[in-house]
Parts: sequence; C-alpha cells; structure tokens
Amino acid sequence: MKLAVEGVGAWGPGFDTWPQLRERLQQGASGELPPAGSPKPALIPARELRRAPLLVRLAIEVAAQACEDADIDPAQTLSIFASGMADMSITDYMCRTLAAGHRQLSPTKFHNSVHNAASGYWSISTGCHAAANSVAGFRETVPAALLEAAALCAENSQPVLLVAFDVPGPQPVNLTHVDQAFGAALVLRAGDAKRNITLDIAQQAGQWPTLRSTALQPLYETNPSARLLAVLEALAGLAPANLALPLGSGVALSVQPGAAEQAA
Amino acid sequence: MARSRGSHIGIYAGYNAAVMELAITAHTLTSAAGAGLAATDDALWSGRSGLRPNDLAQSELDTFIGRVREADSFSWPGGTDNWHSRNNALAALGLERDGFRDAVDAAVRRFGSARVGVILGSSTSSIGRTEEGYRDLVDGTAMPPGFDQPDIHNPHSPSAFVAHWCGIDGPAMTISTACSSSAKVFGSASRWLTAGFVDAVVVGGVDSLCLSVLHGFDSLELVSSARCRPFDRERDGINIGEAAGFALVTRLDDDADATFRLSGYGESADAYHMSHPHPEGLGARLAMEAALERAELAPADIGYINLHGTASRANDTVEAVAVEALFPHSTYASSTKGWTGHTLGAAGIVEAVVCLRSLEAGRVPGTLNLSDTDPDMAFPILKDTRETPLAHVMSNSFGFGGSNCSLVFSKVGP
Repeated sequence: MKLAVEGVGAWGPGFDTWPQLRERLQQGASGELPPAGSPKPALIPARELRRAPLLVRLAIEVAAQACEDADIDPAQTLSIFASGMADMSITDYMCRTLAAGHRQLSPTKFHNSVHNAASGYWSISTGCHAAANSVAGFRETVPAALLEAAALCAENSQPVLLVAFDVPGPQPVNLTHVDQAFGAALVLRAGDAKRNITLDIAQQAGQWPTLRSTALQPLYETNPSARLLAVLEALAGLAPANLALPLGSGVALSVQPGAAEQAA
Repeated sequence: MARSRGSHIGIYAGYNAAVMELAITAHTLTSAAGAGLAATDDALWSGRSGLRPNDLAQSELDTFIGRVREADSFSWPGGTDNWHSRNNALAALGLERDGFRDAVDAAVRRFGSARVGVILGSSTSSIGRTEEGYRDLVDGTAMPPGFDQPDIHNPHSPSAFVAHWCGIDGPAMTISTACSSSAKVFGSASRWLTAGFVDAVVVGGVDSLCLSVLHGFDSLELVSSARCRPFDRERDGINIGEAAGFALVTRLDDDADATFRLSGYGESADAYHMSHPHPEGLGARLAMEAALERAELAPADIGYINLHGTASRANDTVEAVAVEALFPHSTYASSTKGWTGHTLGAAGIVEAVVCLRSLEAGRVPGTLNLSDTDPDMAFPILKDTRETPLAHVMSNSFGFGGSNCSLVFSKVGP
C-alpha cells in the first residue's frame, strides 16, 4: 500500500527536529549521544503542561512537528499513538506505593497512567474529535502501529498521524533498558507523493536491519519506539530498498521507501 | 444512505475503501456473571449479579467487585512459567469456553497461522503480576525469582500471550485506550481484514482485578461502597470487575452462514478532559453517529443500546444526553454493569457479547440495581428484561482521555 509521507517530526538525543535527525543519519553519526532534552510543546495549554509527564510532552512535540511539516490542521487528523512501555515512572510509582502498604494513590498520576494519556492530551490540545488510537506491541510496537496506520489510510481519505514514543524509566520495569527518550511522528495519507513509502504485510520472518549510524544503534535496540529509525533511515535514502521488519512470529512488515529525501 | 439526525461536526471526511462486511464466527465471555455463554445467559435472563463484597487480597477497600473466581486457581501446564499472571490465566480460561479455541484452531488450519491476527484491548494487562513482584523486590530494583517475565510486564502482554497460546503467527497488537479498548478492537480488525492483511482476527479484551485500578479509581472518588446503580437517583460510583471475552472476526464473504455480523463502528475523541466526559456528550454522540453511518442505518433501526452506564454521576447523565440527541425514546437502552461490574479495558467486549446474546435471544436485559431512575436522565432507561424482535443493536464504550467507541451488530440475512 503506497502512502504519501506528508510530514515528519522527531525528538531524541542530539536532535529536536526531523531535519536535525536526518542530518545525523546522513552523516552516519558515531560516538556518544548527548542527553535528550525535555520538550515543552507550545500546543499544550500552560495549565495542562504543568501536569503533563515527559512521555506526553514528547509525543505532543513530535506530533505537532509532523503536522506543521505537513502543513495540515492537527484537528483534522486520525491518530495512532504507539508506545511500547507507556509511562514506566508511573507504573513504578504505583507498584512501589502499593507494595509499601499505602493505598492512597495520586489522582493525577493515576489518570496519567492510562496508555492513551498522550492521545488524550493531543485531542484536548488540538480540539481534534476524530478517531484516536493508542497501541502497544512491546518490541514490535512500531511495525504493528505502522500496519494499523496503513489500514487506517486505506480506509479513510483524511491524513493519519502516527506517533511512536518511549522514555527511560526505573528498574525493574525498564525491561529493554531504555536510557534515552525518543519520539517520532509521521503524517501519512493513502496515495502517491514525492516523499512516499510502501507498506505491506509479508509472509516471512522479519529482521531488524543494522542502522548506518552506529551512534544511534544502542538507542534503536533499547527504545521500542526508536525502531522507527529503520524507517526514517529509509526515508532519508540510507536503507536497503526493501525492509522486512519483525511483526508476528510468521509475518513481517515490508517497507519500501520511495525517492530519497534530501537535506534542504 | 440513512443519515442520523443532529450532526454538525463530521469526524470522518470520507471513506476510501468499500467497507468489508464482517462476520462474527465465534464468541465467548467469562466474567463475574458467569464463565462461558450458558452461564452468562443464565445470569442475564435471571437477573443474577456477579458482584460481591470486595475480597481481593491486600485490598481493604469498601466496595463491591466483579471477580472471576476460576482465575484464582487456574492450573498452568508445565513449561509456561514466563506467561503466568492472573490476566493471562483469565485469558486462558476464557479461550477454552464455548468451543472458541476450536474455532481459532480451525481458522488457523483454514487460512494458515500467519494469516490470523490478534487484536486485544486491555487497560490493566498483567500489571497485577508486576504489583506482586514489587512486594518482594531484590535490592529494590530487581524482580524476585519467578517474576523475571519480560513478556508480561508490559502493556502488550494479553495479545502476545493469546497469539502464543493459540499458535497464531500473524500480526498482534494491543489497544489500550482505557475503557473503550476492547470496543476499538473491532474497528482495527475491520481495517486489517478490508486491507487484506489477514483473513481472520481474534479480537476481544482481558482486564483483571488488581490494586492499582481499585485504588486508582478510589483516588478519583469514583468507586461506590455499595452495588453500582447505573442511572439511579442514588448512584454514587462504579464497581470494578474483571473479564475475558473474545470474538473471531472474518470476512462475511468467507463465512456467509455466520449468525451475526459487525455492521458498524464509530470512534471519536471528546477533546475535553482527561477524566471527565464532555458535558454535552459530544464525543459520545459523534461515535454513535459514525457507527450508524458506517452501518447505513437510521437511529430507529437500532432495537437496543447497551449503554456504557458505569453508574458514575457524570458518565450516566452525559450519556443519556448524547443518546437523546439521536435516538427515539422507543429505543430500549440499559446498562449491564450491575451484572459484571465495570471491567474497564474488557468492557467493550463484555458488552459486545451481551449485545450478541440479545440478538440471539430476541430479548434485551434491563438495568440491574436500578430502582429509582434519576429524573435528570434525558433518555428513558430500561429497568427490566424485555422480549423484542431485534435486527440491529448498539454497544457504547467510553474511556478516560475522552476515547469513545460505538459498535453496531446485526443478524445476518433478511
């Protein structure tokens, strides 16, 4: 299924926009990554921003960037918010509090604990009433969410916003040892465009490609959402013509990038 | 196309693909009201509630819960230690009822294991097991022996488990949009089948009782110390329950002899508040309108609405307003939370199955524990079971974060 990539957003260690990440990818960045910053997206009203955890702010930041890049009204997008681990700090807080015998949980932390917190803040901040989903697939979160995004594009004529985001958390819940925040977003729409990608299901076992950028490889292997870097490298013209990303035990998500995107 | 009245905000600009007609080829439910469809039917039509005083270990919260006792003593086969959790035990129990597992096996044989997908909704996943591990952490940062189970200490646990348990090799995804989770699974399954990504999808939801949801909802002052009383003048909150429910969804072209079909679904966002519903029920109305539009039905075609009806003060009032904006007062509408409790991430599938049981029986359930209907309700709420011929029924599920989903199920054929 051919999809126009109308917008891209990104935030992580050493980059806080897609053009910066693209440059890093194209340079094949190596060496140590600087710590990722803490986004404060202007889209979230000040009173909400105070209560919004890093995970939510990261998701809204990259989602807003992608909509701006696509030059679309965020209130018109169908959306899929994907996070492999959700808010591990809140999971840890709730489990520790309860294990210590306390039964009084913070109401704000509890309502922020839902997996769709970012999706909720997004719809509130943008006034978007369209279908908004919140999905997880552990290590295969990104391919599962991309499959759902392709299906949603096939179904609807509206743009589809796909957001993937995971942030570090404490042990023992930080199962994949996420040590840096990463978020990225794509605005996709069924059809062709100069910047495009073809997604489909393939009846074969998938395999994660090695990134060209050795500096980003550890992030890519530990942060479930950073698996989107394989696709972003492809968009930057750096990946093999055909990727088969792990999806289920007997299927892969095939990703074919269209023409490479050059730095502006 | 029949248009529903009252629409002024469209949430879908238009559909690209012709909507695939979908068959529900098997379904099952295990909740506090009963394990399997026979027990569920018996509870529904005899008015027997599954709610009981809270007896969950470690929780002294003064409330009623909908507990599935069979999940306490599930006997796991050897070699499955990495999957052990109450949530997965509940899933495994649920799969064994009503020949559901056999239907899945048949689909795997018929289409191939990689052509079958799994999309489950959950709000808790296996966090109950994570909570348990935290009581005995090693050095404060490591899980104790037996709890080193990466596949269950993450939100995807239910779908990963069910795919593994059933030998399904196709794509698996978990939807976690709070209390609309296992309603939205039907929308995604429809998309995957229409796009041709798979030939069958196991949809459903599994949520299990645990301290974080009981005490989390208590922190928001949403838990009742009595049996929940949806739409009652005296209602004062929810009872939390657990459940596992499943449906096998295929293209109607492949299963023309199916009894039921998914004829519509509508998803929307309130865009209002994280934990309060929109005061006029805007998101709820948009979801119902979208479901009707996709089903190409008018409001008067719907014989019964299974309301979200949690028995929280705000939810019930707002839902009645939203239903009133669309439906004639002759439409039967009730909440079945008094049987099962609010099963959160499993509520969508629980009430989808209740809708299918209604279609099957030609009978709609009333609202258990409703004695004195709140005069502020904008729509008449059905108190007692009614016999009525049914062709199309709707189920509403609304969640935190303003996530809404409405489903329409119909009988196949004239």
